Amino acid sequence: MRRIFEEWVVTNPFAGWERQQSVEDDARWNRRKKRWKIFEAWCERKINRMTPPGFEWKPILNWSVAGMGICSLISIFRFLGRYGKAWRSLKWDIQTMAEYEAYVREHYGVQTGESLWFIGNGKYKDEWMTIREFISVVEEGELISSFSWVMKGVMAPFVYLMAIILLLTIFHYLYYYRETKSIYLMKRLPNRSELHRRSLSLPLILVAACVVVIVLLTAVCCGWYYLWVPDRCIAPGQLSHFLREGIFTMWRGDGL
Amino acid sequence: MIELKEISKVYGSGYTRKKALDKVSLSIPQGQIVGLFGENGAGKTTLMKCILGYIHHDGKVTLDGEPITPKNIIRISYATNEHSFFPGLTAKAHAEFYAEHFPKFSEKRFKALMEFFELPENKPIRHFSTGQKNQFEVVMAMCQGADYILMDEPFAGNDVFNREDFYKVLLGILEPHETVVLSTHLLEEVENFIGRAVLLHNGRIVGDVTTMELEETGRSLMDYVKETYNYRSDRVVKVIRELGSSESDS
Repeated sequence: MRRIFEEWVVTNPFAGWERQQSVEDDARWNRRKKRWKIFEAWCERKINRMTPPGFEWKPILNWSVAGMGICSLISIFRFLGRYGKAWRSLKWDIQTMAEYEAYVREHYGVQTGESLWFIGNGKYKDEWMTIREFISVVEEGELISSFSWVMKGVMAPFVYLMAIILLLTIFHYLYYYRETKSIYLMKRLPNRSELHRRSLSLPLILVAACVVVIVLLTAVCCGWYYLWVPDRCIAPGQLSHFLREGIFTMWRGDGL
Repeated sequence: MIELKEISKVYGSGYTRKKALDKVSLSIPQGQIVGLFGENGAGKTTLMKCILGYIHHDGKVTLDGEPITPKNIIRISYATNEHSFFPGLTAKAHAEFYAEHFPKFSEKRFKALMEFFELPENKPIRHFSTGQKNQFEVVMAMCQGADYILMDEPFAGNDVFNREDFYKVLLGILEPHETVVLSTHLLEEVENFIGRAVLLHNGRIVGDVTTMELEETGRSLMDYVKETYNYRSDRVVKVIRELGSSESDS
């Protein structure tokens, strides 16, 4: 068997090439791994300089990232809940719905307009949008709840998360009194802002990360709101209203 | 020169009010090794904390005529028995931290003292023994590159051999411009090491003498301290006699 394999390696013109490829892949992979390690060490050094010296920040960072993930999920569910409620409160035109379904059946051979997304490898997607615009099943003159209403309380979980993260600041300041009185050394540094920089930086960066996630989520929710609701059902000036008022109500805990 | 003018500090209020320092005035010129002595609660630690500005106090502390601010505090280092290092950081990381913040940090002295005390460089200080922690505290204060090194009972918990060796090393490595203010109970141990003794009692300076003055009068530091504190040796004899007679009666 071994002899056959060796013969095959000798006779096979691609065998060496494959081996060469594999060596190159390995080298590339190792280079990437090395680069990642350098980046990781650089990040670690940077964070070490932003936290109290010797402070175990890794678990805090992991928990914060996990917290952001959980809060994002809760926010999405809250948004979908309120969005569904807004949809359900619309008055549906049964007559138009029947006409719409008949039209879709006749032209595309599917039962509902939404099915156009899944047939023909998505080539009817645009047509579905057009159909949706012209043959809407929502009663004429019906308006969906405002984006501000839909977003109310959606981001409330982040308020709790950010409050917990800000509590970390107190924890950082207390760190200088734990086990030893390293506060004496911090107070003796020529750069007095070092104490506050090391105590405030990480919590503020994590809060900033939360704000970025909130902005992204709001953008996704906004896109979702505009994508699925027919234009004629959306009252004008939604975004300006949201920026004026809704932005303040999306933090409140009385969402659903 | 560090100058203290009428420094007063009161802790608590009402029934718990305690005068820790009462109008203390003191000058510490550069290049001296000053021993700060006094019973527990005499105000030694409070005095050092006042110099460093760690606690609010009345009176004025100046360093070469200037008030102590972040600008010149770099010239003072502090080793305390409460410890001021970061417990989760290794000795090596401490050296890096000091080198970053104190431009005159002496890497050479750090290495030499770490070797002298046989302290591990890559172990978090949290895992050091109490004696090693004290030694490390002193090492960092010595290496900061400060002109004034304040030490508040730095060797509490260290064995006598370690202390004696350290005094010898300290005398050997101190530069002429470096000043050490050493607060301790170990009078006899530091007697040959210090150049001046300042005695505190109930928040007041009750004695200030140079070892040269003591030598001239032929007295030891212990004698001077006993004189200053009105030490009555007869009270020991009296107590033993009283206790002895009461036990024999029973």
